[in-house]
Amino acid sequence: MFKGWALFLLVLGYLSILFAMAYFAERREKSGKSIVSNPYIYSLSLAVYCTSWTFYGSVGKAAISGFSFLTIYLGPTLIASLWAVILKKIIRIAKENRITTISDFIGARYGNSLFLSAFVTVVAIIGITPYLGLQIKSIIKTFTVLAGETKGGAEAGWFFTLILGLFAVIFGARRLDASERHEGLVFAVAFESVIKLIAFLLVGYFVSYSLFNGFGDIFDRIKASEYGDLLFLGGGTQFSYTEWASLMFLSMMAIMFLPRQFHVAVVENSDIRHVSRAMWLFPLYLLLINFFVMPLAFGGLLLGGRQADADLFVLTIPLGQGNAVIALVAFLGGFAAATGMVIVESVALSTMVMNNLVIPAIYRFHDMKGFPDIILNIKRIVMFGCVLLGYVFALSIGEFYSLVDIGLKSFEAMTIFAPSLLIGIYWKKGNKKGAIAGIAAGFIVWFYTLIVPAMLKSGIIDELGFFSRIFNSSILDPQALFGLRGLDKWSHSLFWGLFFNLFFYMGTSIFTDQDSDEERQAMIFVDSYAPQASLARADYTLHEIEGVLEQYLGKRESKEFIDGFLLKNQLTRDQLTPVELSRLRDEALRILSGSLGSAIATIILEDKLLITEKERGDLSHSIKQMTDTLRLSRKELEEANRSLAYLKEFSENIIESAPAGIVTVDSTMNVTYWNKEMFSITGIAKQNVQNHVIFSLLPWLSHDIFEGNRQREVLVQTPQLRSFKININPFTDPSGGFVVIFEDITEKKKMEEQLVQALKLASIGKLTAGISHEIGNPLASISSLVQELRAIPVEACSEKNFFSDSLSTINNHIERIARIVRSLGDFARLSSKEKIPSSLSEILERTVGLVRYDKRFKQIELSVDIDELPLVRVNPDQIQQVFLNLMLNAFDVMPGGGKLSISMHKSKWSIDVKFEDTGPGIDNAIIDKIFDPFFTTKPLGKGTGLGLSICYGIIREHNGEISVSNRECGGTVFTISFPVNDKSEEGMQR
Amino acid sequence: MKTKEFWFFLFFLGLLLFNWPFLDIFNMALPLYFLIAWGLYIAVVGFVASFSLKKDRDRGV
Repeated sequence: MFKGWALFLLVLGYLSILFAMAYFAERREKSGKSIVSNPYIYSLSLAVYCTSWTFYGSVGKAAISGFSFLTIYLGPTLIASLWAVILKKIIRIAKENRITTISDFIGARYGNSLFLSAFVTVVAIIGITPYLGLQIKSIIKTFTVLAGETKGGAEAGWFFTLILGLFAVIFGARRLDASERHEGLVFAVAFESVIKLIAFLLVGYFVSYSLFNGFGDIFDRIKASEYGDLLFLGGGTQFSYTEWASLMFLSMMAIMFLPRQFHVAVVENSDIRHVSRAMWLFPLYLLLINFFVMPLAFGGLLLGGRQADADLFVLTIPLGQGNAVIALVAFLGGFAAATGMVIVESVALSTMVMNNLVIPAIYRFHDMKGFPDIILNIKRIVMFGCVLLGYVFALSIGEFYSLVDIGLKSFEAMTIFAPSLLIGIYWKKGNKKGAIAGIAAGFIVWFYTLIVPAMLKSGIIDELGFFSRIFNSSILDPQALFGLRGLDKWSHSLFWGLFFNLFFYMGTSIFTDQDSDEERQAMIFVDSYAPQASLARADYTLHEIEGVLEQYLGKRESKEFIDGFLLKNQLTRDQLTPVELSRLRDEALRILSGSLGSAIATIILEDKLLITEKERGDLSHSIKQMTDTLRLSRKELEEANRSLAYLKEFSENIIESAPAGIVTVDSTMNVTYWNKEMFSITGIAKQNVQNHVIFSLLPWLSHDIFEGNRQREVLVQTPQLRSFKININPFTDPSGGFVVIFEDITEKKKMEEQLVQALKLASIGKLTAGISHEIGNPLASISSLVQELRAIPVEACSEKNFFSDSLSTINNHIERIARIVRSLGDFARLSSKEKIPSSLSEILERTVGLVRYDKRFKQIELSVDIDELPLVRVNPDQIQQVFLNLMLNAFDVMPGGGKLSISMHKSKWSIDVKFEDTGPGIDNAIIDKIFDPFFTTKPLGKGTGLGLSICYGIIREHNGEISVSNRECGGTVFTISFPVNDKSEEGMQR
Repeated sequence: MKTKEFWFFLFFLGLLLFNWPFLDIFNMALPLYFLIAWGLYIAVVGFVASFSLKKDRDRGV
C-alpha cells in the first residue's frame, strides 16, 4: 500500500520528466537536429495504440476468454502489411492537401465540405469518449488499489482528470502551433511506449519466473485446472470464430481511423519512407508487449484471483506478493499507457473541434482584439472538455463494463469512417451526399446496438413504456436487429453498421451527382494528383499576408514565419517578386491550415487577399479547363500509354523490316539505332554498336558528308567494291543527330554498267553496215590486186614496179583495216570506272572517227566549233558513248540528210557541248519524257528506249546536266554541261 | 510479382493463417502456433519491406 500523496507526487514527477523529454525534442528540432525524424521513433509513436486496455484490459480479457485478446493486435499486424499501399497513399494525399485531422481528410475528399468535416468530428467525439473514459477508469481503479483508498476514488479521479487535462494542454496547446507537427509530443509518446513495454515485461517476467517456473509450468497447470478451455478457441469455448474475425476487423479499422492513430501515423509523419520500417517494427512491438499476457492472466487465476477482477492482475499480483517495487512499476506503466492516449487523443480531437466547429463559427470576428489568444484559449478549453467527457463516461457507464468492453465500443465507432475514407481514395464516384448518408447510417446503428444497451444497463435509460415496446420488439431489438440472432454483440453491431453504411454510401453516390468541387477533389484523392500550389496572381503584398497571419496566429508567430521564409530563400522584404509573393502566400496557407484547418484557411486567405472579379473569373475558367483536361484519368492515360507502346513497336517493326539500312546517330555521332538490314550490310550486330561512333563501325564513311547539318545524298564505294547511296537527314529537334539510310546499289550499278556496255555494242551494231563497207572496200581492192599479182609470172622482171606499187597499196589497205578494227576494239572494250582529266575535244574527235563508218554520215553536213578548253575529270569511254549516241540519234532523225552542228564552249562555271540537228524536232508533248527509261518513239523492235536514259545517267554521274530543246528554225539541240569548279582542272589546260 | 501485389498476397495469407480453419487445425497448440506464426509473419514483412526500401534507395526514389 502506498500513500495517496506519494502516488500523486510520483505521477507529477513522471509527467514532468515526460514534459522535459518533449521540450528537449522541440529544442533539437528548432536547432535543425531533429531526434524525432527517424523510423524508430515513428514506430514507437504508433504504439500509442497500446493504452491501459493493453496494459490491464488484455490480461482481463485473456482470463475470461483466452486468446481472444490477441485479435486486437493481430488485426493491426495484418493491416500493417498493406501500409505500403494504403497508408503511404493517405500520407501523400494529406501532405499535398495540408490535411491535419481525419475529419479534414474526409471533408476534403468530398469537395472540401465543412459540414461533413463537422459531422465526422461530432461522431468522433461521441465515439472516442468511451475510450477516454476507459483510460481514466483504469487510472482511478489502479490508484485506489495501490493506495488502498476505495472511497477517495472520485476525488482522485477529479485530480487525475485535471492533471491529464493540464498536461494535454501543455503538450498540445502552449501556443497556436505554426506548424501541424509536434515533435515534442511525438518524442514523449515514443518515450512512454518504451516505459510501458519495459514495465509490462518486468511484471510478466516477475510473475512467470519468480512465482512460477516459466511458461510451460503455467500452461500445464492451467490445462489441468477448471480454466483449461481458455487454451482453445472455437466450438465448446466461450469465444466463437465469428467473434474472432469481427474483433480482428475492428482492430484493423481502429489502427487506421482512431483520431490519435491518424494523427501520429499521418499528420506527424516526417518521411514517408519511415512507413516501410514501421510495417514490421510496430507489429514486433505488439508481439513483445503481449508476450506475457497469457502467463499473467493464468498466473492470476492460479493464484486464486477471480475472472471479474482480472483487469487488475498486473497490479494485484505483485501487490499480493508484497513486491512494492514491481507494483509501482506496473502502476507507472499503466499510467504511461493511459497518459499517452489521453494526451494525443485530446490534441487530435481538439484540433478537429477547432478546425471544423469553432473556427468556422468565429473566424469572421478576427478583427476582435487578441483574436489569436481567444482561439488558443478555446482550444485549451476544448482539450479539457474532451478529458472531462471521458471522466463523466467513466463514472456513469464505465462502472458496468470491463476495460476491453468499453474500448471495443470505440473501435466499432471508428469503423463508421472506413467506407467513406478507404473506398473514397480508390473510387471517384463516391460523393458528399453518399458519405454523409453512410456515416449517419453507421452512427445510428452503432449508437442503437452498442450505446443504448449500455445506457439501459447503467439505468440512464429506463426500459419502460415506449422504449420497452421498441427494445423488446423482434425487429428493433438492439441486440438482435431485424431478428438476426446467434451473433455476439460485436459481430452483430459490426454487420449491421457496415451493411447500412456501405448501402447508403454507395447507393447514394451512384444515384446522385457530384458537383465540380467534388469531382476535382475526387481526382486529387484517387489519382493522388498534386493540386496546383499557386492560384492566380493576386494584388497583395507581404504586409497584407503578415497582417492576416498576425490576426490568427499572433504577432510573434507571424513575424517568425515571415523572417524564416525570407531567410530560407535569401530574400529581403522589399525585393519580393510576384512569384515569390505567391510562394509566400502558399506557405502562409500551409501554416494557417495547421492551426485552423485547410478549408477555413483557404477561405480566410481568399477573403483577405482578394483577387479581382476578372481574375476570379479567369481562375474559375482555368480551373474548369484544367478539370476538363484532367478528366483523362490514370486509367485512360495508361491506355494511351499502351497505344503509344504499340505504335512504337509498330514503327520499330517497319524500320526493322525495311530493305534499306537505317542508322540514327546523336550529335556526338554515337550510334543510337541500327536496324536489321545494317547487319546484313555490314555484318555488325545491333548489340555491338550502341555508343560506338559511326566512323569506327564504317571507316569508309567520310566525315565531311555530315558537315553543314543539311539533308544530302551521296554515292560511296567501299573498299570491298560495294556501292551505297547514302541519304543523310539531320534531326530537327535541338538535341541534334542524323538519320542515315544506306541503299545498296552495287547490283544496280553492275546492271547499269552492263547496260552501258550493251548500248555500246548496240551502237557498234548500228555502225556495222558502214564498217563492213569500210572494211569491204579495201578488202575488195586487196583481193583484186592479189589476183593480178598471182596472174603475173614470177620470172617477169618488167613488172617489178607493178609489184612494188601493188604491195604498197595492199599494205595501206591493211593498215586502214587495222585502224578501223582498232578503233572498234577500243570502243567495244569494257570501260574503266575511273574519271581522269580528259580533253572533250579529243573524245569528240574519236567519236567522229567512229561515226564516219555509218553510211548515213555521207549525207550529213558536220560542222564542229570547239573553243580552247581545259581538261575535265571524266570517264572518257562513257562520254564517248554519250557523244556517239547523240550523233547516231541525229542521223536517225535526218534519214534524207541534214546538218549536224557540234559546238563546245566554256562559260564561267561549265563547259557546254551542243549537238544541233536540222531534223523535225521533238513533239512538245513528249519532250520532257525522252530521258525516261524505256521511252522511245521508234517502232517496236527498233529501239529499247534506254539510250538517252543511260546518257542522262552518265552525265548526272559526272555532276553535269543534259537537256533538250527544239530550235526555233526547226530541229533539236541537245546541251550537255560539264561543271568546271576545280581550280586544278583549270590548271590542266593543254 | 510486383511488390504491391505481394503485400495483398501476404495480407490475405495472414487472414487465413490467423483465422478459421488454421486456428482450428492448430487448436491443440495455440500458444506455440501464435508465437511462431506471428513471429514469422513479422519477419517476412520486415524482410520484404527492407528489400523494397533498398530497391527504392538504389533507384533514387
